[in-house]
Parts: sequence; structure tokens; C-alpha cells
Amino acid sequence: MRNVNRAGGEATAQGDRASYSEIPIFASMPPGPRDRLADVVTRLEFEPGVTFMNEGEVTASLAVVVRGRVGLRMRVPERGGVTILTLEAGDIVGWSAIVAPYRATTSATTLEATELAIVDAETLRSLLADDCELAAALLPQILDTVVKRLAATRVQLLDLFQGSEINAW
Amino acid sequence: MVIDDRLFLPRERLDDFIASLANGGRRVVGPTLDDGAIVMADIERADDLPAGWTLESAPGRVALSRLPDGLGSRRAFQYPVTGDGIKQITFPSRVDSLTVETTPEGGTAVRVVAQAEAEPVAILGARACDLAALAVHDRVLIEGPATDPDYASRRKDLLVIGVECAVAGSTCFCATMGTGPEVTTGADLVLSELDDGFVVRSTTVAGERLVTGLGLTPAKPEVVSQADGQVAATRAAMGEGAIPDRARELLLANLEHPRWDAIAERCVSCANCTLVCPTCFCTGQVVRSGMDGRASTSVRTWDSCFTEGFAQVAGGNFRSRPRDRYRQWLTHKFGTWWDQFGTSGCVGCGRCIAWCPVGIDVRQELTALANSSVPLPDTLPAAQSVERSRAAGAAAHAPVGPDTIQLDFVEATVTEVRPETADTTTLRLTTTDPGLLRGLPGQFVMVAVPAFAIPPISISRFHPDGLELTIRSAGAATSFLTRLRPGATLGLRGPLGRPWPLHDAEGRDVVIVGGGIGLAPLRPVIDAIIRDRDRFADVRLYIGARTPRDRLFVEEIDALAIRDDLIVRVTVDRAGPEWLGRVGIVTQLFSSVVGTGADATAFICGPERMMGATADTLGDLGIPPEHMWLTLERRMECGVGLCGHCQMGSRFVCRDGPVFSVAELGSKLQIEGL
Amino acid sequence: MDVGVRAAVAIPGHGPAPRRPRIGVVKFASCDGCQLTILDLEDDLLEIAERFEIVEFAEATSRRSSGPFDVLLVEGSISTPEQVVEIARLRAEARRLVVIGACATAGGIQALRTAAEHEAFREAVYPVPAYVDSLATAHPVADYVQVDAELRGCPIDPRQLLELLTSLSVGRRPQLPDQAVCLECKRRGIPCVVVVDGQPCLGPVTRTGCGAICPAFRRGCYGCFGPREAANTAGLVAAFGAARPGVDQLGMSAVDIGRLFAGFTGAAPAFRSVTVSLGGRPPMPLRPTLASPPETLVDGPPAWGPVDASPAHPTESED
Repeated sequence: MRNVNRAGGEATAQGDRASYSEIPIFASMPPGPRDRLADVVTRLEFEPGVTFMNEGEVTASLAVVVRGRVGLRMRVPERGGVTILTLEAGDIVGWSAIVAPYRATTSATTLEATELAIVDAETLRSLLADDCELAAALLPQILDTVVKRLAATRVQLLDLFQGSEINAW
Repeated sequence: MVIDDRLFLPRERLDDFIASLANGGRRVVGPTLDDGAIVMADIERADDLPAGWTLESAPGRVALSRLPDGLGSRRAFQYPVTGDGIKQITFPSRVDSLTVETTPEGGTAVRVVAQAEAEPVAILGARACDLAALAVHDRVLIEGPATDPDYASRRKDLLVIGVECAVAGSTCFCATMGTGPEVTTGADLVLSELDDGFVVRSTTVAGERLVTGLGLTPAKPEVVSQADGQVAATRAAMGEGAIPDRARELLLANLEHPRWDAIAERCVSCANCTLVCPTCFCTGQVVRSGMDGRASTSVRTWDSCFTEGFAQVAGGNFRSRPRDRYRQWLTHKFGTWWDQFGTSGCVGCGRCIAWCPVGIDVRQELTALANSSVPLPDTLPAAQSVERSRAAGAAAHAPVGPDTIQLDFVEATVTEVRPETADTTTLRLTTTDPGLLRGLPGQFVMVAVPAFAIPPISISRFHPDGLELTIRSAGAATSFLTRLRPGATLGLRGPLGRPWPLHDAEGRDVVIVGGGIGLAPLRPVIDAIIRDRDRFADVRLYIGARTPRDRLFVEEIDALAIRDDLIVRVTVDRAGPEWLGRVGIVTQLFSSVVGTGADATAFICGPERMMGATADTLGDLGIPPEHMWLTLERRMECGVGLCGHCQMGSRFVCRDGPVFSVAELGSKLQIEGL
Repeated sequence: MDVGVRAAVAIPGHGPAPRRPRIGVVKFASCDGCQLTILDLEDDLLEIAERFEIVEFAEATSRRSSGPFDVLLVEGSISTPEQVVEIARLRAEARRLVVIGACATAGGIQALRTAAEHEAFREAVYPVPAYVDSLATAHPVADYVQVDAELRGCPIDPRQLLELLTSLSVGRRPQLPDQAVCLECKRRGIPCVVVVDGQPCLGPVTRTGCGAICPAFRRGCYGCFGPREAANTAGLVAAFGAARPGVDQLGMSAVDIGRLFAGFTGAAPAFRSVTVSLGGRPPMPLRPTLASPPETLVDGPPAWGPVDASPAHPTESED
């Protein structure tokens, strides 16, 4: 929880199994694995403007946005921090927590008061290694997030709203 | 033997006959020899006709030759179709269609060129296929929803003398298409040429009057039977079955067939097939103006779906590959023409075969397609042979647009100019035209100013005394429009097109998704919903823009966002750190918010790729395709279904759309270059 | 969002009245025929002179000017080392640079020398070849500088020129269609010479704009307007090479077909590739460079290429 603690999130709850049914990613898991995952989840409240994940650094945790909004940003020296995606309730942040080399591909900053459900990266990785049932229930959901982001990125690449180039004539 | 009222015109009296056609100041047009071909041109006497000549046709080949010596060597119509048919007479390759003028006060007077009452014409020598094509043109250009005024005026009082073919070329297949060689429709008089004269049958009052004046004697029974035998022999020589059965289904089921690539290797996209085709009707507008730009004339000019620019819009090209263009032509001609007009677009004249410089034969291409076709599904509507589908076509696939469309341009005055973004401007217009004021959300207008092309612009708001147009500067015309000032006058044709079906959303949840300039045609929908808010359940508005600076109607949207009876979400594709709003594509907004599914109606407008992604995502969330509506962009030159540019499958986007349901479009959005 | 060069008379209510645009006409290696086309616009010359300030036009006036130009019409191909320097200088002085004619747009007839030994040519033609300082090749202007629009043809078509000047004056995009000659041919009702005579005709792969002059005189098009959009030369070559029943002239040899494409615009890439693929002339050498290029010279052909004027509209030709 190094990264998160440094960012100054305030813990609100831990291991409250019943309260996770409102979070989509947990809600769609079978009860057994969901409860075992819930046991290691911490819920944290953040003020707006808190950066709890830094591009290039080791990802300390995987989080689900419970409430509020989070911006994923990349450093572009010429342009400052460029927001490439904003996340809302139900979205996952920090999938790099389970994909080697476990480094964040973007920074994550809260855009408003935000509550996150957080699992420590190392804890999660050992849980996934030991608990096949949990892994089978959770990994497709994380992959789904990555796939949707990839698809959306492709559409963004197309720059569909770009005004057509205005001919000099 | 049938004894009928047919008359006989001795060859010696052909001059008298032609002179009688010219009565009343008619211009007489008939076949003549010209540069190695037989083409229609003005004639005055029998000597102008290609007497003693015949021609043979093959793929990419038309060859004249002398008739052999003998009794028939003086025949003047002893060949199949002429090179050009009668299209240049009824539908000339260039016609001044519209004049736009700057009035002394600085406005824009828009007027249709006064139709100098089209000079009366008599056509001598129209063939059965020509007349079948004329009927097709009547359907396309007169019978609506819009009527081409120039065609209508040329068509009125046209005197037509048909000639039944005594020979068939190797490229002829009218017998297969059910259009000939017997002349059954469209002629005032029908001639059958024999060695020493013509058997004449009048089929209209005008024709009757003509022969009465000539004082012809009845044709002898043996002469009549000789004429009947001659055309029957022509039919027999041609045979039937030149193209596969169910050509429409064949084509529509094989849109991704590799044969299209093979054709594209041979096809040089010269467009000859389309321009010699007697039913092809696509036209473009060429703007002619003086150097002062104070007045301009739009010239309606034959165009072709084989050119690269045909499906070009400001943002790109809908048919970028030659294979797309050949496929468009063939599937339209033999397939979707049925859906649009209840008839085949091919009359079997074979001109596209004979006049193809590389000798592509549509009969062979259709046969090749049939020989390697995917199994034809039974589910395609109205499985049909050519004859059966003719009867079934109109009813089974009626177009969905309005019944009648007015072509007139009316004036509107710019009263306010509101820049929205760096390249987009909203013009507030006033008008007194009641038609314009009756427009509905989703409809568009064609906007005319002198010296520029006439672009389609969707209406972004309605007022009791006028409307608003939100215009993105994408080309010369739209760029000019965004630089207008208050007081300028525009000519508007419209409102046009199928509106958003607001009734489909009543009592239901509403999801509105607008991307980029696509928000403009949705704005009247939002206005209407706000006005009658209680007629709709939950209303959600999702807006995508390229960057925060490219957002349209920012203050209005901000005002909507603080209402408690609407959910408004705005997202941009990219933003700097100063932007605290959402970043990402519009579909990424749905997962956390939409929970309505089957009870929702969606209105979507934006780039086609964005609409496709949106429809997919909303579909996953349970909104039925028949309740998802989107609006397509295609090249439009007329806006009323006459120019042919905006065809997409069986539909004219301008007339049958631009609003379609996802269910109506089916898989069409997935097929490249349709 | 600057569109064109606004004319002296603006449309009332549509904007302010700007000054008269300065127009220049210059030439490189060429025959002056395209410049003369301007003088052929007899009926419109007065109005052109009224709306444009003609500051440089050697064929018409002895007055010289060095620019800047709002519009510079450039005739001729780049064939000598001096011209390489000069075109770069002129580009810098021209707001819009419009190349006119087959020489300026495709290299012209002088680009045929690419096929030969340049030195041998010089020695055969000139008594003292040392006096002649020419490049081994003749290149279109767009190989050296950015070009804003082009008028094709040998010579250019006066109606297209008038359309260009009108569009400049009005501030719209010139309607210079890029489709095949065939469209104009068919609109004029000219019987296709390939079909009736078996004559080879480059109309299907050549850009329209001439009014289909050659087919109107029952001659095959020889491609002086250069390649059209998406020219399917391979398809046409196959058709010309194949014997056609009853047609004597087709069934052409590869060499003859190659020659057909090696005319006034034979150096245009789409046509040159045909000649080369049929065993014709060798590939064109890379653009020759100077020992010490001037500062203003762009490094290689501009990546953005020539700006084609609007292909979006079909053409209209008053026959």
C-alpha cells in the first residue's frame, strides 16, 4: 500500500463483504471468490487532486472507483500532463498491478472527491496464484477493462471529430 | 391471323412521314451515321437515315457494315440499338438547372432558370429498350417524391415513333429483361420495317392523328404477319436467360465476393457504361459564375458512380476503391433499383457491354457471380425472377421518405452570426416561408449562395420566425457561409429528409449521443424534449468532442447539465491538465450510467465509425436496434433524391434518411465502400 | 480559413472589398503555348485585367516585377541548374503557385530525354555543347517546390484557365475535375474510338478537361492531360494488348503500348511505370541536385505534394 499511503488516502472500511455487491466488478463474481477478495479490499477516500498512482513507478495496488472520478494522465514534456482517459464509478485503475513488470503506464489523479476500493498488489498477486477460482472470476473482468480501453484508444486514434483539412482554396 | 388496324407506309412516303413529324415546329431526331457509329441526331428527310447500313456489336466492339445487295438493302433501321439512344434528348448531358443571383440590395435571389417551354421534339426510331428506359426515367425523375422540372418539360408533348427491331446484336438481351424486342409501351406510333415499307401501328391519340393525316392504307394481312414474324425471329435469335435468375438476391448476398476484385482489375472506371446506360440518371452540379461572383448558374451534368469524387465528402470518400464503384453500379442496376423504384434498372439494351473499351460483359459477370455464389438466403424479401419482381418490387420495398418534395429555393436572411468554435459558426436566419418553418428535428436544408456549390446543412434550431444552421467550415462553400454577416440573404431548399422519430421516444427513456458537429442536428431534439419534458422518461445526453475547445453550444449544454431532470455527460478525445471534465470516447460513458436497456430510445449523430461503436455498445446494454436512430452523411448534390450521389444500398440518404434506425441499416455499416 | 484571393468587388453583405490580387506569369523550359492560352481568352481579358493586377507576363507586357505575387502561374519544366534556383526563389514570393501545362505538371515533351543519353543528345544537337548548361532530366515543378494547383494539358484548356481565375476572384475552389476524358466524350455524344475503330485511346486513364478534343476528331487521346485519379493503366494495357475479334488495330505489342504512354506526360509516374514495365525507357533518375543548393531550396520533393484542385465535381465543358 506504499503508493496509496503516500498519496494520503483515508481508510474508510476494510473487509466488509456485504458492501461490495454495489461495485459492478465484485457484484458479477460468484459469492465465494467475491468474499475472499473482499477480505483483502480496503476502501479509501481521496480529496480532489490527489495523485495516487505515478506513471513509471511500481503499481502498489489495483483499485476500483466506487464513487467520484479519476483522470489517467501521461507526461508529454511539450504539453504538460495530458489527460488520456477519465474513469468513473465501476472502472478499474491499476491493472499493471498484476502484469509484469508491475509499473504504472499512466498516472492517476482524483478529479473530485473519490472513493476507491483497493487491493494491495502483492497480496492480490499471491491470491491470484493460490486461488484459481478467484483468478478465473476476476481476471476476465480486468482483461475486459484493458480490451475496452484498447478499443477506445483505437477509436481515439482515428481522430473522428477532426475537422477536415481546409483546402487553401 | 389477327386482322387489325395496322397501316402500311410505303418506303417512298418516308419523306412525307418525317415531314409530318416536323409539323407544328417539331424538331425531328432520328438515327444517323456519325464517326463510325449510328447515333441520334436532327434529321429532315429519309436520306439522313443510315439506309443500307447495319451494325454488329460485341463486348467492346461496334462495327458498321453495308447491308448486302438485295431487296432489303434500302432498309433504314436494320440494326439493333443506336449508340446513344434517346437519353440526350430527354435528359441532356448538360442543363442549366438553377441560377443564384445577388440582388442590388445585397441579398441572394435564387431562381430556377425559367424553363423556356422545352421545344417540341419527335423521336423517330426509338427501340423497345429505349422506351422501357424512358419509363424507368419517368419513374425516377417525374413520379416522385421529387420531380426534375427539366425532364418533365422535355417529356411533356414528346412524340415518339418506335421501331421494332428486325435484328438483334450479340450484346442485346431485352428478351431476358422483358422489355423487347416488341414495342409495348411509350411510343405514339410503332413501325416495323420491311423491305418496301413499314407496318404502322398507332397506340396513342397523337399517333392516330399523325397517320390519319397521311392517309395511309391498311396493311395487307400477309405484310402484317411478315412484320410479326420478323420481330419474333429477333426474339428467338436473342434467346432468354442471359442473366441468372434472382439477380437482385444474388448481388445483395455477394457484396464481399472476390469477383469484385477481379472485375476491378479489368475495369478502367472510365464511366462509359453508366453514361451510355439509358436508365443511369446520376448528375452533378457544376457552378458557373462570372468573375464578380454576383450570379451563378448550376449546370446539371451527367455524372457517374465510377468516378473517385462521386462519393466524396469533406471528411473522406465513401467508395474509395474501384471495386466499390463497380459493385455500386451493378448492384444498383440489377438489385437495389427494384427496392427504390419497383423496376429493374437494366433494360437489356447491352450498350454497357458494347461500349466498354475493355469489353466487360455484365451478363458474364453476373453468371460468374452466380456460379460461385454463397447460397442465396430465402429471407431476402420477394425472391423473384425478373418478371415477378417487377410486380412485387414497388410494394415490397417502398422507400421510406416523404411523398412529395418541393424543389423551390426560398430566401432567408442572416440576423445573427455566432461563432461556436474555431471552425464552426451558427447562423440565425429569419424567413417568412411557412414551409421552412414547418421543419422537424433532424431535417436539413440545401443552402445556396452565388458562385458556390450548394451544400446540405442540418437545421440546428427552429424559431417561430426562422431557424439556425450550425456550419463547420470544411470546404469552400461552407467556409464562405461561416464568414457571412448579418443582413446577408441565402437561398434555402427544404426542409428535407426524414426527421428524428420523436414519437418513438415518447413515454420511454431517451439516450441522445452527439459527436462533434453531430450535435447540431440533435439540438432540435433536445429543444423538443425540454419543451415537453414530461412526455419522456429519463433523458440522458452524451456529448463527445475532439478537445474542450471544440465543444459546441457550451453555455447551453452547461445550462442543461444543472437541470435535475436531465443527465448530461460531456467527454473529449484529448485535453490538457486544465480540463477537469471527462476524457475518452463517448461509449466509455455508458457502462456506468445507462441502466435502462429495452425501454430506451436512442438518437445518435456523429462520424459513422463513432455511431457504429455507439450502437454496438448501446445494443449490448439492451436498447433494441429498432429504437436506435442515427443519421448518415453522404455526398448530396440535390437533397431530393434526383442526383444519385447519396445512394447507400437501396436508399437515398437525402430522401429516405438521413435518419435511419439501426434495424433498417442492418449490417450495412459494416461493409466497406457500400 | 483563408479561401482564395478575394476579388476587387465583394458580394455586398458578404465581406469587405479587398485590393486587386497581383498575378504573375513566368516560364521555364516550355514552348510558351500555355501562356498564349491566356491571351486567347479574348472576351475575358478586359475583365481579367480589371480584377487582377498583372505584374509579370513576358508574353504580354515588357513590364517586369519581382513579386510578391498573390498568384503565380508557372509554365515549363525545370531543366537547367539556374531554373532549380529560380523556382525556389519564385515560390518564396508567391502566395499561390499554380503550374500550367504538361511541362510544368509532368515534365513535358522534353522529359523524353530521360530515355536517352543526355551527353550524346547534347553533342548531337549543339555545335558547342559546352555552352549548354542543362540537367540530364526535365522535371515537373512539384518535384522542387510546393504547388497549390495545377492546370493540365498541352496546351492548357482556356475554359479551365478561366475557371481558375474566376475561382480565385470569387474565392472558391476551382472546379477542375480529375476524372477520365471518357466522361466528357460521352457527354458530347462522341462515339468511342476504341469501340468503333479499335484505335488505342488513353482517354480512360487520362484526366479530363480538354473537352475530348481528339476523340471528337476521331483520334485516340494521347494523354496530354496526364493521369486521371486512380488510373487503371494495367487494365487498359491488357485490353490494348489483347486481340479483339474483328479489330485490326488492337492486339498491340508491348513496345507499342509503352510508346503510347510515353508522350507529353510520359514522365508522370502513373504513365512512366507503364512504359518501364513494358520494357520501355529506363527509370527516371532521382531529381538532380546542385553542387551547393541555395538556401531556399526544399530538400527533395515536398512531402505534401501538389495540392490538387477540387476533384469533387464533374466537369462541364462548353463544347
